[in-house]
Amino acid sequence: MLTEEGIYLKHIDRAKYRKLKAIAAERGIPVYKLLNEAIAGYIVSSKGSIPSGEGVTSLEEVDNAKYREASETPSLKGRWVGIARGTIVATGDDAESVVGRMREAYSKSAFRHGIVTRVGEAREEREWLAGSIQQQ
Amino acid sequence: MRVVFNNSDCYVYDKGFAVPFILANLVTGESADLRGAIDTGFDGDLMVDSETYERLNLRLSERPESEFPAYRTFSGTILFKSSLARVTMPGRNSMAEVITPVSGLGKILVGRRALKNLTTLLHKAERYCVGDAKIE
Repeated sequence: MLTEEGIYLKHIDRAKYRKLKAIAAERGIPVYKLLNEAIAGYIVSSKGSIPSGEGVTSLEEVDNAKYREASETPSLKGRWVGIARGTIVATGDDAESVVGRMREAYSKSAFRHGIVTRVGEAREEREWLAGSIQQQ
Repeated sequence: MRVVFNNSDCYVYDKGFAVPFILANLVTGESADLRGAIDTGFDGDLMVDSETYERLNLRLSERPESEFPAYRTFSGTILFKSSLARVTMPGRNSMAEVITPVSGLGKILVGRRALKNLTTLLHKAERYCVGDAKIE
């Protein structure tokens, strides 16, 4: 649940907070969005799921929610992205480089679900001819 | 016209025509030796059964749920999960789309998109060859 109400936190590492602000500015999103993503990702990686009522309930849903957000970011249209634990691990012009970064991220800390795709590809409805029909 | 295959690309017919291939997870490198039935009615790369999809952890490089492909079949539209994986088969070592049904078991099939890279010779119910053969 998102509210307008603020939270006052003491002992925040200023240097790390400045880096977080810089990342948010680079991606053109508010700091609170980045913090919400980081919190959701932390909860999922430590417990495996977010309690119901929080909007997302599984690793897949966290990653898919992140992808939906990425697909609305104009600068990512047509680019490859790698997503794990609800965060964008890598972006690139080709799948190989993104996969390489996903591999590095996995070797540092194994994740259980990930997305690798080109942003903005629509769901295709494909036709399956009778090739696999088998008599019982 | 003359078609020249390597001996190692030819197999004795056994109830059907199948292509041997190695399927590997892009993130973890886990791999499996598989044989997929040639299915010219299937327009994609590869389908695997859901047990293989899980065993190889293909969920680590999945497409977003909103882009899972839907196939129109005789028995209605079926939704598939889709992942990127590395496939090694005669004449090919590259990334490929691997699908498995969202519900149900599925089978191991090699579709038209994968077959486009191969020369295939089906010789009666005796033997068949699948490889990078040249036609002279």
